[in-house]
Amino acid sequence: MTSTVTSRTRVATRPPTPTAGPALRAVVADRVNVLLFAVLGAAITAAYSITLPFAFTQRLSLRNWQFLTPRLAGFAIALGVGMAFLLTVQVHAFRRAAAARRASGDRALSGFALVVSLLPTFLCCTPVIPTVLATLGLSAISVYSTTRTLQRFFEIHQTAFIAASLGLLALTAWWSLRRVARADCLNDTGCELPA
Amino acid sequence: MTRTRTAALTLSAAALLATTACGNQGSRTATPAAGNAASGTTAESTSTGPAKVGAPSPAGAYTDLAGQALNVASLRGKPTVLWFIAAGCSSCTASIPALADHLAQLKADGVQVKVIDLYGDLGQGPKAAASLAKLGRGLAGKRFDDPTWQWGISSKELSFRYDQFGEPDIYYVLDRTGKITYQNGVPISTMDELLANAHAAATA
Repeated sequence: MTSTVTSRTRVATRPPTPTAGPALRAVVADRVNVLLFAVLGAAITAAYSITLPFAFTQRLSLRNWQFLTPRLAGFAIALGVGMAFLLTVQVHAFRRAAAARRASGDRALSGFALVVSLLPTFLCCTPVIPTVLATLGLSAISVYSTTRTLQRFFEIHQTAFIAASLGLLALTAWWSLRRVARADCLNDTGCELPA
Repeated sequence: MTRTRTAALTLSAAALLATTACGNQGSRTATPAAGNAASGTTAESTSTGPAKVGAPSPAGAYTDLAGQALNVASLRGKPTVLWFIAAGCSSCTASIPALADHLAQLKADGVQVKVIDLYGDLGQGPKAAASLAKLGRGLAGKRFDDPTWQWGISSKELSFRYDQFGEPDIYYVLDRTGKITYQNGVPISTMDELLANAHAAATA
């Protein structure tokens, strides 16, 4: 009986569910955030436009733009905008002390998204895979065949890897916004209740 | 603490990936053109071990597009660029037209180019030869028929001696005696070095 009462009391006193919408509006309304987003978006898109075609030249140089197909250009823009948005939200959260302490998981996820998006292009035709396989102690014959198999796998699935990292970015952005919203709910001014 | 460690791990993974990948040319690059003073040495014997700069080129069989069985040992007498590619390799597909642009220069130096598909990439036999020809013609156009370069498919033995890890886009420069004078990869990014070393091998 006592436990039932306690449980009901907990439900009644729980804060309102935070939504991402108001947090997004707060991020967009801040001019510093907009400026930061624009600068980061341009810089990260430019960086992706050089790193995504890395496999063609095995160099990080402006010459890689020669191999920037419409598909890779689209991904560079999407990843640049997504990563810039995520970083902007996280900076916004940092500026709000209550949210800053909770953003670590988001930063790790965005870093993971960055690695996933670049994985296929850095693994194609480079010694990364054979080096790892040799380190694991595989025989020369196994290294040869496994390297070819893995490199072919990454070549074929590059689009899937980039799409997955974009999905991860979107999920992380939504998660970050919810965290910012939750932090808003817990501060002195409270938060907007969902309709 | 956990937060810092997670961020550090993520950054380390990205940095390791980037540095290993970017550093691959350094590990491939060996004797530059300036260091070829000893290239006049006659490479009498044929090596059976893995290919090494400064050593005689190991023998190894390959098949040309017409199905004729050939051997790297028979390349002596003419400076050669021996380039191992794979069909799905992005840098190979970017380098084929780039090298095609410089065939005239290589021809002027008397250098022959052998473009060899790595063992296990397209398979063996007429079907694989047709796939390789289609790839080459698609990327080089009419220049594919330039006699300065010939295309072929590697045997297991040849791939293992010259490219033991199956990493595509590695090339070797062989002088007239069959000695390996230079090794590198990704011709589109190392064209100047390739041409300089091929010229050095031709004039030594």
